[in-house]
Amino acid sequence: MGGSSTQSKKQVWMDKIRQDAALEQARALIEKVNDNCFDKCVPKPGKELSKGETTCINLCMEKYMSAWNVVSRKYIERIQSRDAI
Amino acid sequence: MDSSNGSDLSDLSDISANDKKELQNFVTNEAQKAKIQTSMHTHIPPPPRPRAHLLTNSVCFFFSQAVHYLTDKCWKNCITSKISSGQMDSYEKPCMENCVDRYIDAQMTVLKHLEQLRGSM
Repeated sequence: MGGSSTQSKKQVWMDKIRQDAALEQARALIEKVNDNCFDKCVPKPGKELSKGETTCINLCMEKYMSAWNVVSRKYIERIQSRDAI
Repeated sequence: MDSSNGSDLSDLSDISANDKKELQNFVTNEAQKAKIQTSMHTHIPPPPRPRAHLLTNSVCFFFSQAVHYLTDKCWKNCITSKISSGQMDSYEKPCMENCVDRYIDAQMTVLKHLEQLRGSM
């Protein structure tokens, strides 16, 4: 095995780690969206998902993601201003 | 690039000691970055072991748990009315932001008080 080959192997590993981390992020977010939006939009599950419930879920999903962004921004801002802690 | 590289990630046997070290540092750094976002979480997971076959799992485990935790918590507190829009309204957004700040404040208050209690013992 030459040096360039282990080099690319290392790169593959790093990419894989980053990729896995991003995937895990998305997975966790979707899990939370399912959880919270189901509670919010389908309080009394009927025979099928109604039109209103479907609309609610779609809106809820967008709202949850923007809430996630707000929290993430705020949290990072707070963590970075060391004196505020 | 050799196509077998993508499929057989677990085989690190032929990587040099230097490269191994570099990879370990990379993982530590990534975990550190993630830890910033995790440090609030009540149950902080143990730091990742720099063992090759555990690398990916332990790094993943770290990522952004605090942000997920806080979004979940503050969502329950702040998004109380029926969902009628995909955006947060003028009450909800500041509520989410305050919620994050006050959660950290509360946590710090607990820690400070704990320190006081320990000092007086």
